[in-house]
Amino acid sequence: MRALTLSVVRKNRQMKWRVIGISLLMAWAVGMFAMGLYGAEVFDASVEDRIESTAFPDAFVSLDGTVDQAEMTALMEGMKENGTVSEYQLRLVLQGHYWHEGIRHPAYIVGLEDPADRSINRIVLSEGTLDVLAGECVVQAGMEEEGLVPGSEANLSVLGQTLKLDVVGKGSSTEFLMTGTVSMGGYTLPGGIAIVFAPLSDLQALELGGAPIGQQVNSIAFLADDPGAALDGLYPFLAAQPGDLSADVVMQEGHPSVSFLRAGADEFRYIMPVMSVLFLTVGAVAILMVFQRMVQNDARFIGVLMSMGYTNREITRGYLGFGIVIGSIAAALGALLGLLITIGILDIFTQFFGDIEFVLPVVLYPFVLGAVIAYTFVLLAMVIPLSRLRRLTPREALEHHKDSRIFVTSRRLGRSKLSVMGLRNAFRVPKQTVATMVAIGLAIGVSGSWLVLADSSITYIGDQMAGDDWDLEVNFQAAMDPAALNESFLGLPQGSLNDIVPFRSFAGAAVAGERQASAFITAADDLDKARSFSVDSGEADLSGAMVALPLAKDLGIGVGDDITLLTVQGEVHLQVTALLQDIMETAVYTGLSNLPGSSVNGAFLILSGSLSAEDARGLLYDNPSITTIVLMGESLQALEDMIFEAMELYYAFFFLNGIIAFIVAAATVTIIAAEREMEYATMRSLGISKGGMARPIAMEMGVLALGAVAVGLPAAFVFADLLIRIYQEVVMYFPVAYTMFAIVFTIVLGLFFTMAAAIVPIRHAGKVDVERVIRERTSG
Amino acid sequence: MSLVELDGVDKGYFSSGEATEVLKGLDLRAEKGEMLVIMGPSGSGKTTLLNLLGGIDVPDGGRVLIDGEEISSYSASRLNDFRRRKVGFIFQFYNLIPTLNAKENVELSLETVSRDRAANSARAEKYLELVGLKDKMRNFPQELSGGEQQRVAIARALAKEPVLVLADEPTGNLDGRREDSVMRMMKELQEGLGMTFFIVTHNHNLKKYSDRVLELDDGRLSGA
Repeated sequence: MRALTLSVVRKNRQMKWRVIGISLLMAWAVGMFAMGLYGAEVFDASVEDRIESTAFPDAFVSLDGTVDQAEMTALMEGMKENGTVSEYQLRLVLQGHYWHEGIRHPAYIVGLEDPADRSINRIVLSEGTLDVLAGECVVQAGMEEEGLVPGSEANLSVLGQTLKLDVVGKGSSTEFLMTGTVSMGGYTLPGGIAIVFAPLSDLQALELGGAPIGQQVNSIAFLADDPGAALDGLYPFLAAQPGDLSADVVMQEGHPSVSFLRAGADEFRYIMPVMSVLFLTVGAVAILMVFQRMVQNDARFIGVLMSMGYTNREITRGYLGFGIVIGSIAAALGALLGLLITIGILDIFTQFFGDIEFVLPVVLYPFVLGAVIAYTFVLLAMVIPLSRLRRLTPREALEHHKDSRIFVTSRRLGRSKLSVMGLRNAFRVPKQTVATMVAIGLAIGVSGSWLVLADSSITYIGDQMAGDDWDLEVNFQAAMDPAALNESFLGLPQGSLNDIVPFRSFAGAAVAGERQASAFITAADDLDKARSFSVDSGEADLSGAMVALPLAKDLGIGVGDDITLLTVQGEVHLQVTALLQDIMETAVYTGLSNLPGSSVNGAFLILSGSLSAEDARGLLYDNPSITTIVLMGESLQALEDMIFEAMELYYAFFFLNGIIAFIVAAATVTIIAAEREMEYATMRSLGISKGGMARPIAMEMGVLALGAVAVGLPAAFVFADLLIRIYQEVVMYFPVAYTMFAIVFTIVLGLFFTMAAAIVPIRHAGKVDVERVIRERTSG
Repeated sequence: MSLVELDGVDKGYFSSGEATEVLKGLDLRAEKGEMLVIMGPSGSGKTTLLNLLGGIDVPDGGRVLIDGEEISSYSASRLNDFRRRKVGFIFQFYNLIPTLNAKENVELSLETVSRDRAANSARAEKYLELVGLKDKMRNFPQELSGGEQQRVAIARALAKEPVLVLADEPTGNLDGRREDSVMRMMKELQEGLGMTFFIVTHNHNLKKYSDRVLELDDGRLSGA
């Protein structure tokens, strides 16, 4: 190795902690960047693989009533013959309860002709068999702890009847992959839902209204090149059925199993790289500061090299070695971190969302791109000091003295000279102090932004739920006449209800001009009795349509514009009366009278106070017409738990990034410590104790920490705002919340991590070799 | 033809907005193999003269010729090349690279003129042996005494066998015994290798080693 290169390598080794610290920071940034792109690839590949391998349907149509199985079969066979659909599946899906050790769990019981069918909506078997006989069933994985395993008996209650099925197999249906996110009354609830696949005939044998259901189905799934054309063929048939039959239509892209994974992919693809750029910037600032000081401190040696005939280019190349070492560590470690973090996060997703088998595709570009970006940032950070180096003449370099002019104030800053020294030291080189505060502050800002992000989302959801005034929400097995809904029908004591707000809700589509999007439509005439709305613009008025902001954005509409809702009974044309901040991003609220027909499929119940929500639920369980019951309090708690669980990762990032703020602080103050070696040696030679030496350092770091937090706190909100804007685009809507929790925690942890960095100069000052330093420095 | 020729050399600096004339119409000749000691009070321009001779600085007026080359008109890159081939510097504070050991410090200088590692290694060892540091070639600067560090600096300056060696207060940090040892060694090497030495110093004791002593005062030379 050439002597010049060797000197740089050894210099790096001397500064190993600084090099390691900055490299780790850059590696973390590369890791996040790679994780973002690679994670997105994993999600995309996993979704595609899952859709492909399980022949996941292009559309699901769920009816709030039943249709004749033979007629429906004839219709679908016709569409299959003319190529409108390629495969279809007719099901009878009933909602009920699964009992285990005296505890009731919500259950979806899916009646299928053949659960082992591989042509559409295939169940991936993990244990037992998919070949079921009468009285047997297959269960979706995820309820093992609740006793749903092959060999057990599924004790179900459905339509007020008991249904006991022997569990012969366990598998995973893509349709119910997100068992924890099955929609209930517009909200999604975590886990605890039993999904049971049973023979169709077993469910058809159950009684409804005193007679067996018979050869009826209420759900159709199909594969089609043009699902819209298939729906066009289906709607006239459904509209011709007796009663106000309405249908939930969920397209493949809008299905939770797909959309959640896609949202996950987008979150990875856009948010992580943005965060990594923030880290790379902080790292670059740290490198800039370290390198600036390094070149400045080395000026005399650079002059010596020049006097030997080394060109500026050769010397620059030697110093670039510093960047190459950092860049290489960052690239290699970053790629590894990226892979490991991705796998770790996928593991969390698996635990959270259920039985997902992730596919790890072999793609190199996230890692290569991450490495290239790391090198670019490192080298960019070196441009300023290197350009300074290139401008030096040999004489300037040889005559260069460290800037010995320091800024002092004659103000009386305290009685103790050590304290005065600490406070004056904090500003002895004001530019350096400000740069250090900015570098550490940016790191604190990045850290705090995660906290603000997590806190904002939780605050928003809490605020949204606070707008709900209902106590219980019930959903019915079949369409109901709202006039029939009263306390005696529901099975509740007279006077126990203040109000009943019947509603019809279903997943459909909304159209505005050329644009069409999935919409979750809730129609009720007295909805304001059950909940209030967070109106962004316009007025809460159910004579038209109140539309959630993200949906309005997708459709390109505002207040006063026209919107068309697509329902089984036909198109409904409405004017937009308000844009809402709503937890359901595709929500449309309108009056029930605006929709064809008058039937409802659910109701919000507002209790009078004579009966608790839990007691009311106990009574409602006995009503065979009711399929699901949601308690407001439990729903809020469940939602908060779910969001908190989702945000746990961000709280972890907050702490991890706090450690990075410590690294940045340590890396920058190490330079200061090295520069003050002579002062430390002098202090020791004067007999000042280690504790005494620590005091001015701690005071100086305290000033730095306060300054850094002053930069970091607003930076946290600025960065969070940036993140939230991306979040709004790709995942979910929520505004930035300026909560006391986020502010206080960012300040406290910012101060803590910066002050913790004081340990570096304190240790350095304590360990300084007085004899060596004084001998070396005074002899040149 | 003299090895070093300075004709009417002027040099000044701007400091705090004021122009200071350091060297005024300086004329000087030095022959190959001479050892010249330049003395003068602080601020008389001794180091500036050394910088001009070594191509570290360029004159404002006049000509500087070294070994037949008029370096005063050279570009920065040609000056760099000139320093590589023809000049060796010895500094008062040694200026050894702390992250390189004694031998590597010498090789650092040799690598500017040759990429032959084996030859550079052999030559570095030879010169360290010449300065009496054969046993301390692997020692880092911090493991050497002041005198030893200066001897490494001398070996580093001489190893590439320049025609001109420029020493700025080479014994400024050494005690009397070490000063004598270093100067005797430099004299022997100068005589043995036939190099031309310019030594800038305040120290009158060094006069005895010189072939010629020049006094620099108020930007003008006497004894030139």
